[in-house]
Amino acid sequence: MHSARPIRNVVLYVALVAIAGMFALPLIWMVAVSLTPPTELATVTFLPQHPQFDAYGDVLHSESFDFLLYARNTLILVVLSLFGTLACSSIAAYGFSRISFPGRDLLFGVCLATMMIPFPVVMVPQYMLFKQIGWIGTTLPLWVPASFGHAFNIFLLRQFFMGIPRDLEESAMIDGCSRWACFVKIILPLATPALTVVALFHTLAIWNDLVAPLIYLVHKEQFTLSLGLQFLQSRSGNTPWNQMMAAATLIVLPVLVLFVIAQRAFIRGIATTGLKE
Amino acid sequence: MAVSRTSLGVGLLWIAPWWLGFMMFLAIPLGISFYISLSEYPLLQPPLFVGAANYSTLAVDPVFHKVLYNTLLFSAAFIPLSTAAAIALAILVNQRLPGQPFFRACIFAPTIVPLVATAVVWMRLFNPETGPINETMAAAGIDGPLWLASPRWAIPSLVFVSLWGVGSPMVIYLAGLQEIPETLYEAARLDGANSVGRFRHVTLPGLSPVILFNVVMAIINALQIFALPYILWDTDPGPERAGYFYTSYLFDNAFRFLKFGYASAMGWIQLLLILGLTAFVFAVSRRTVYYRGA
Amino acid sequence: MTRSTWFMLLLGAPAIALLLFGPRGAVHIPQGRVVVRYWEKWTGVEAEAMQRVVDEFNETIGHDEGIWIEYSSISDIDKRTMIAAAAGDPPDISGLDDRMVAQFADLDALLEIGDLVREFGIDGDKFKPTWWNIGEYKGGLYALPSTPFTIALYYNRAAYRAAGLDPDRPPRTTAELNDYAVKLTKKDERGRITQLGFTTSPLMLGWWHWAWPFFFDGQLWDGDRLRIDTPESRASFLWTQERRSRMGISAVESFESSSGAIEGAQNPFISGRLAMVFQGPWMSNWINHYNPDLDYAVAPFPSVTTERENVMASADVFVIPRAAPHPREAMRFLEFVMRQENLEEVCRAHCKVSPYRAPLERFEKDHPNPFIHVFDKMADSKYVFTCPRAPMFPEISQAMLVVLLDVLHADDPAKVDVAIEKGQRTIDLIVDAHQAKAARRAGR
Repeated sequence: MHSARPIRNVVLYVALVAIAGMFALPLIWMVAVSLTPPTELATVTFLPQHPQFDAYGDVLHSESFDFLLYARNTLILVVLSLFGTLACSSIAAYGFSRISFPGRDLLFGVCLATMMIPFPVVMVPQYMLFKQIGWIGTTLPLWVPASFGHAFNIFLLRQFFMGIPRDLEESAMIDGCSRWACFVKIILPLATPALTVVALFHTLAIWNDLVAPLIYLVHKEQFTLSLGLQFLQSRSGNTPWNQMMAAATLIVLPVLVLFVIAQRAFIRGIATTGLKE
Repeated sequence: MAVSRTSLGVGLLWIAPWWLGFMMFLAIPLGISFYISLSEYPLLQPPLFVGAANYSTLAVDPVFHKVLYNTLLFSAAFIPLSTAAAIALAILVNQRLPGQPFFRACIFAPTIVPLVATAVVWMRLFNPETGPINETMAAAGIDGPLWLASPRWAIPSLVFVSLWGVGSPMVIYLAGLQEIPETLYEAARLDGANSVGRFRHVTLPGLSPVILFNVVMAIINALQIFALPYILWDTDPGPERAGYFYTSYLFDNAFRFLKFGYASAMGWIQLLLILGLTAFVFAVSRRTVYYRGA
Repeated sequence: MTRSTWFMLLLGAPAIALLLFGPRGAVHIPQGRVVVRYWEKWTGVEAEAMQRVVDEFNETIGHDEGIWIEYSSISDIDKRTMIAAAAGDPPDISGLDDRMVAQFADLDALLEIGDLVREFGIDGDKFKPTWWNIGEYKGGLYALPSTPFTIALYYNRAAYRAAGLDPDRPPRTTAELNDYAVKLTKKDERGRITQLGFTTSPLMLGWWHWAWPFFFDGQLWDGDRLRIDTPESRASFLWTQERRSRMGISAVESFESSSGAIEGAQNPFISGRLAMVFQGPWMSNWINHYNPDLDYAVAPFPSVTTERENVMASADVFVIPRAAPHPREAMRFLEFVMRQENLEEVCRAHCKVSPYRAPLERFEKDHPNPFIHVFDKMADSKYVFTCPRAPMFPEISQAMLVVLLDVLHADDPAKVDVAIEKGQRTIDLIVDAHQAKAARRAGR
């Protein structure tokens, strides 16, 4: 794509700006409301007339939303489960894509099926299980199961691994390289974009997860960010919307930065991939 | 290419990181939930075995038929549209132009912004009297529909709104595009292929493993759609139950009507439904998906 | 790559700092106390009001008698309580809504607390019968009222004046209400409604969308069957259809689907676009917050005749789940909460009425709702109704919502009858299924 075609680029640019603007609307709205003074909330149409940052101060100092504590709790869950799930998912994905053994496709089907059963149905039996092993009241249900290989990640990595030509591994194996060494030295480096995607999605999933914290967390001291946000939304309709959106902005911001970093990793220059046919 | 077969034991060892977690945290709950689907279980009292009664009641439950119909209709529109949109967007933001990280972040943003914020924006867009969509239509002399409040337009509105979430598959396609070697494009160009030809003969086959992944995920997500209608129509089933979907009804049965056995039966039917569709997609994929590593 | 490094530092450094030096949440429970788990659904100022009561208890009686109340705000409390109870791990006290009591009690999931209440000296005679009886199911007492409320007619006095109506004379019958509603409805030159008189759209109500037959002196549940095809119920649906057809159905629907939700800043009553609405006392809190200058008043919602003042009443309640490990300690705490000076502080923070027969003087004086006496007095009516005590009502409520939505859309009274008949068939199936299940359980 040695594009010295200005007209084409202009067209692309116009399209990009229009599309990005549409998609950015919720984000803009969230930030706009967070800057809206309470007196304008009832009449505001889109952008506040007298923007102010008070809501951020209010929410950071409010008793009902301890941002730093919740952020730390959430971060701990991410850190505890991230490496586990990256390792487990990629190993299992390698098994499902490269190792040919009897019953593999059937087991892969079972693996996929775990995503297809609606969560409410297993929620209650799972709660009973965690009660039996004494995990209720702890944060263990939130990160231990998440540390194992998850079907979504396994499936995603399997698809990427299967796209990697076999010749590289086969010549390495002829040179006496073991399966494990092939996986670590050849496949994993080549799959960096896919691994980055998995890491990003896993972080997002834990960061935004509401269902599991809602069921398993009782103590405010253990709350995650998304659960804390839920509690800013009042049942009686007295929600301080500007504070709520300020909190939401604070929650979204680090993830957005993370995305910008991560996308550099999965949009590498083609030259550096080492993929030559 | 010669594929050497390995013993079951070695294979199981490789995939142990998956099945250990599965056996510990999911297998038993799944087994219990299957038993529950054969029981009458109001949650607060022990389950009472009733055989296939839940399944036969579902067969004649008009609300079940309605939510199944709504969900399939939604899926039929959502799966192809979201796939096409995500691929198109991925290719667009993969062009070498300055400022792309910003555009990518914008398109991805709706998937991380809390749904309540996003829902308000949609409701404003779809507002029958003050929203820009109907304002534009009014300017063109067309009387716009009530969108979310209209039985006919509820599902199309939902499909439209769901497309805001294509940021996730887009990212995966974007990563997939990186796997296609530039040499293939060069070769195609030398063969005289235009951009359409290059897309058909290089991009699509190269992307096909990822397309398979995203289509399967779209099937799963579409047939389990829950959070969006829940926020758009609150807890109401909407006009003529047009905003009422499979998982919403399952959830209501489980936790509002306390018919957990019934809900579990719905869950297992849903599993079979998705599994069937996925198996079909995999069967088709055998002929259409191109794995360079296979 | 330097830019990447910068970004990484931008994100990584605070993350590591947070992990190392961030606040740690330690759950603090004093040694040697019996821990009573109390789950409540409230958030924000409403939760804080109860937190003060809990703190005081823990410092005084709790300290002396070795009880520690562990108070948690729980989202989706009914669901959480069910899941925890199903797993044999319920809290000792759960803050439910009165409308869930029948469903829970019918499954034998709640403790009958009549004896415990007497033993711990909570005097039911000091409470209005409406509120004391709200926790009854089939002759047993299963719940105590925490923050009760009636639902009344809020009306915009300025809009009354502008329409030539007397702002001190709210409608006295349902028929009059329809006339007022039509007079209070204004349209622009394009035929779009700029001000709506009144609506029974569920968007402008709460979960009480099924309440209308009661204002026509009807009832829904007779303890065995639930009927929406009675003459009274039919009259209530026709009343809605008649009003809407006079105002222009499609214009009303367009207004409803484009105006903001009743909860929150876009509330059309608060912005003056909706002249009358059927709401609870907390709405004054929203008005104070978003539009304190609004000229409004509150009156009992009219019934079909002036002879019977039908009043809708409901309450947040305390229940003790059957398998709760510490019911006696829980009741010790409830006795403390139910003391008038404590409970009324909570009720006021919630902008609701007091369940006591004679509220303390300062209760009304400091109350955020200037019309709280209207709500309070309504609870004295002989014709108070609550959410039907039918254990399968959650499912019926949804079926009734579908009927209401059909009626709201009906451009012809004949379609109202069709909707009612269809709804009645659905409801009959729900009731039959429930009774068959109950019989199967009983026969085991």
